[in-house]
Amino acid sequence: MRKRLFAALLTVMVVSSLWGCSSKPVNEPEPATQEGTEDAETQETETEASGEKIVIHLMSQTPRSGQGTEGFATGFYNMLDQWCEEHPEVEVNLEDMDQTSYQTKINSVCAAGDIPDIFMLKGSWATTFIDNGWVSDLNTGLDADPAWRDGYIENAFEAVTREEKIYGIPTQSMATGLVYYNSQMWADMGYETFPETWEELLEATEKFKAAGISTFVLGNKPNWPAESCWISTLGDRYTGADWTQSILEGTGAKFTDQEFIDALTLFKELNDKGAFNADINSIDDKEEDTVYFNGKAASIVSGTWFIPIIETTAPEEIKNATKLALLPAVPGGTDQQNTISGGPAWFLSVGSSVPEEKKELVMDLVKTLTGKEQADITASMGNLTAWADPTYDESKVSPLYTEYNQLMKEAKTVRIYDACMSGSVIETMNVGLQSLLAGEKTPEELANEIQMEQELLQ
Amino acid sequence: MGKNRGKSKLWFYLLVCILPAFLIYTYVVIVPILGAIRFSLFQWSGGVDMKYIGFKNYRLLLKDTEFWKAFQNNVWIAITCILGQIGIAFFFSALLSSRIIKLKAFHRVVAYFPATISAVVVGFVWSFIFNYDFGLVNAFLRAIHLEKWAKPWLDNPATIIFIISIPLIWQYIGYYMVIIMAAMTSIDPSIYEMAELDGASGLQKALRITLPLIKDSLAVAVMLCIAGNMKIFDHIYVMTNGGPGTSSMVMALQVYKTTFIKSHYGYASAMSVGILILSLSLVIASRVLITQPWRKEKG
Repeated sequence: MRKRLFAALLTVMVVSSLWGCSSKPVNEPEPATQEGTEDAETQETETEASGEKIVIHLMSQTPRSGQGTEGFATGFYNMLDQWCEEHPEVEVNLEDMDQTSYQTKINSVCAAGDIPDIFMLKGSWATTFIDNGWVSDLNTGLDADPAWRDGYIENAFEAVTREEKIYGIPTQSMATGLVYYNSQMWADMGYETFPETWEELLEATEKFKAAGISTFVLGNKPNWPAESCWISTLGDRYTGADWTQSILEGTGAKFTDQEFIDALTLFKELNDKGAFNADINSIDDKEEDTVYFNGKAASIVSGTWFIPIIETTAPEEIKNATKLALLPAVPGGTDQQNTISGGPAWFLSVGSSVPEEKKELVMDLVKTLTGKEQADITASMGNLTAWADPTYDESKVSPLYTEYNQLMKEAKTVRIYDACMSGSVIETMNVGLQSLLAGEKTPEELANEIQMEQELLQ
Repeated sequence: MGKNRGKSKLWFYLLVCILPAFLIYTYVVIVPILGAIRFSLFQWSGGVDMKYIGFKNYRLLLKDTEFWKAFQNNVWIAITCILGQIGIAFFFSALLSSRIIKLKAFHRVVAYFPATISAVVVGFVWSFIFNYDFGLVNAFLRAIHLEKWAKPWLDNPATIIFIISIPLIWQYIGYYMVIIMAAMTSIDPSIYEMAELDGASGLQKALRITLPLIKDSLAVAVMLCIAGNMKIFDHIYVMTNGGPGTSSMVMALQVYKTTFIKSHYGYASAMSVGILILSLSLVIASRVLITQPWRKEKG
């Protein structure tokens, strides 16, 4: 009897607790928040329930916390705020997060069919997203406003164009293989400027090594820096731009081609000669900055994103001594040696599930977020834009930014591998480069592996 | 009749009580597993385009050297952790149940602390400890003038598996200590008294009396240890991201990368099913080895 009573009591408890759970949202609606970042799902259900505002779901890999300090975040979110003020009938449901989380999240929500209205697309994902029909083409919107369409730098849409259909608008631009060197330390070794030939660089490496300083610091734990900052440029110095294009189109070029192997060999040799820090694969792309700031390395090859970091966090004497250069010419490379990997890497795309009636609004928001005004704000804070000719006050930006613009007048931009090649090929290359640097693989083995992954795609 | 009805009513109540847990378990465990089995038969990059390819993914998996290398890493980590976690936990438990240690309750609680910390935090802390320039290990070695021994610990492919096992061992000693100590307290103290009268040393007591008597709990601990280490992910993701190269790659991390970076959803599902089969067989094998059911019949 007692048992039965106990069981009955338990049942009542379980049932009532379930009841309590399910009725909760109805009984206590949470206070409505503004188009904030916190809880996208709650907001969605609320607005749908109220049925008043049009909701636009926006996902971004740029955290809003950077608004006011970081150039692109400021440009992007200032324009978003402005647009929201002008469109009180619309509620923008923003989900912002850091890049690593974003990569996982955007892939899963799209795979689950829950595609955001507007979201950031990385160039290397373009094939997957386009083939799966997750993004819609923007030609109609772009063609309707030629001033917008033609305002961008050359080849800005290259990575997201398939059969003349454009699937994204570049939001920012970058160079990834830029040499930042501590001119003071190099002068101490007898170099007034950064070496222009590879032999000179190797010579300098010997001297720095003897002095117990790394010539370069590289934080390759996240495994993209070696490929994005080094191999994209070095590879092209041997293969030329046509090879990269051929790889992308699948028209004959192979990773096992001698030119590409030469680039890998050169990079491995540089490491074997002791040009890099010993913990190359165990520090990340932020820790590498610290090593450079502490004067334990004479130079660093990084992207344009490093300019504002130097500006805000470097010690005064490092900041003043830092100068920019291109990587030295490689022995036995092509004729074109003034190259640097760069271009737009992130694009703003429109999800394929946006209903017709919302499309116009969505395109208008995309235009606002990627247009000249955004570019002007971003450039004024010393960040690179995809806009060809932004207006900004030169005296207010970092001298490095101006120096960069000078340098780029002489340089030719080549494709960043991870901004254009397929994600799986890039992952194989990135992981393999770590093994190459750790001495576990030869350049030939690595080239074979990347080629095998490439062939799986075709 | 009345008794029977009472019984069936009790069954009814029991079912009602179990049902919620059963439903939740089915929804979060069984259904995803069935889903993974279904997805593993397709070539799928995440979109609407799913191509049925039968068992091709599994055939690829059998030949995938990277996957088997990751499995091998998992096995090494599991072996290191069984020896490290359970071995040290056994040692500490034996110490704590002896008379020489004071403040036993305090030690027990403190030893359990690391197990409550998030794996990501542990990973970060230990990657700082192993840092080449300012890490604790190298700073200590330099302080005692052993600069030559200071190494970039997380960069050497040959030793990386053992290096990343250290935080794992450290974190879960307390967890296994709780299991082992619970088993130890259930041993009748008079057995030890008898042994002492017969002149057994502390070591003899631990190995000849305690160990055989807590065998069943040890079997559970080993099983938990293997199951836990087969799905290990967070520590390694934070400390090395599987690197250098693939030297510290484990199966779960590889599935994650295959899914979200390479967008091979179908193949990654086949890998998950592979992990399930491998882990289950290892767990069963360990269980059989430790409990040795064939020996009971003889006795």
